[in-house]
Amino acid sequence: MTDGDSDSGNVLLRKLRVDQVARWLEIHPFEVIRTLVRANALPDDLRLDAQDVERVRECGGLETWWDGAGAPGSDAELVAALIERLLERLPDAATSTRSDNIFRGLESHRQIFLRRVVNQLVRIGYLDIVMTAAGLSVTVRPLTRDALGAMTAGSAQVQGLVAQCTADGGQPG
Amino acid sequence: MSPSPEPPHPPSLVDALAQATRERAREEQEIESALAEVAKEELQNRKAIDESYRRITALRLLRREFEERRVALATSTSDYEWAAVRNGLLADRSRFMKRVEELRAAARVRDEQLAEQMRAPEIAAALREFELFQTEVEPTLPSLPPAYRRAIVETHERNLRRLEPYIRAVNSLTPRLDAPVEPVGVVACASPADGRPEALVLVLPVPFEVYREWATREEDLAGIFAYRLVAALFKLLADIGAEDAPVEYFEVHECLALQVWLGDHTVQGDLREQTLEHIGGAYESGPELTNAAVEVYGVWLRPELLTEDGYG
Repeated sequence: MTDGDSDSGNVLLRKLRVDQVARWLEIHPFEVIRTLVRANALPDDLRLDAQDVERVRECGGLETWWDGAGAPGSDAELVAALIERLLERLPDAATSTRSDNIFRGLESHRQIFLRRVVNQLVRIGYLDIVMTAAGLSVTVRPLTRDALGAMTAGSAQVQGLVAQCTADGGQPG
Repeated sequence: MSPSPEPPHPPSLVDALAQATRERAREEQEIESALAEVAKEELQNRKAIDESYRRITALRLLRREFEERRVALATSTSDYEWAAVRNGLLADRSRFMKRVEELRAAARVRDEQLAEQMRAPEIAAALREFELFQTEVEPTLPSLPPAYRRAIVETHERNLRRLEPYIRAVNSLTPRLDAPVEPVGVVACASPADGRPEALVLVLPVPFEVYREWATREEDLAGIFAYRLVAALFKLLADIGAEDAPVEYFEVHECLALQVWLGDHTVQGDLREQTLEHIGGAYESGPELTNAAVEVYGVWLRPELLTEDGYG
């Protein structure tokens, strides 16, 4: 139960705790529990192994959209890349993704920025937030796909969005 | 012989009239006095009646006030009820967290003892082989000749059997605590109190930090307890046909609260009964609460008792 012991035997034999798995997957431990309950796979002793981690990733619909170091450099490029991924991975209104997938893999300050961008896209009606069994999820509104597709890094709309989400900072959601 | 007395003179008319006048005057005076007495008594009685009316009116007002208070009491929450819930939750939280600390100390002792036991040469050797197998040997197994592979696997399984009690002990959530049983409550309520439920709230006797500061907190009994209740909540939601109902975590009376929005679902079955059943199930689903000598009971309350700002 304690983290403090550095005895190699203890560490070697120890299984994974829920909070450790949560840290690896960048989700809250309660989400780990929720996903394992949904998959009817919550171990009685609340101790997990590598298979459980994969199960949470798969059953929870966890995706990593960004590779921290490989993410686009400028904010405008990041927004454009996000829009591109949204259109590609959410081809219709019936397809949604967990809202935290959109930010996973980014550094925390860029996650905050992108969260504002997503909130803004929801406000102007390009995206929808829906509740699914996997938690809060995002979909693209079908009628706005063309408008969203026109938002490239150099477009005035993306520039405006970046300005809005960095200067006054709409509320990070 | 003495002379006989003279007979009395008959009253003269004047005297007779005077006498009559005096009699009349006396009678009139008596009547006046009697009338005055009657009037006085009548006045006193009227005053008494007026006083009684006043008292009756006051009593009616008093009765109405009490009747209104009775109605209000049946439909709302009194300050002392609200305070009782808050104080009860905080007391439970305090007792629970004290037990968490006691358990942490016991776990530390247990871990030290285990580490000491695992330094015994035989166990240390088994551990070294176990580690070697996991890190270096296992990935190469498929490429080894079958007989050699079998021998290695058998050795590994022998090591596993030898280490099994230690593996179990190291991974047990909590050591057993020799302490008197502490009862703590998990509060539940549905809103509105009557009719179709729109929200369900569970309040746990653990601090909100268990949720908010999970990344920096060491896993302890409070966290494990929260996991059990979160699991119970999601099992409950599946049972009542609200698996995708949105769940939020927030703070109520300085304790962690779990809230579900049920407004978009039709709850199947008796929400109260099923909730209390799942709270009981959470208590029984692992050994840690029994080991920690903590007994959990579910309490179903009216929703207004859980508002943060109180009543009054």
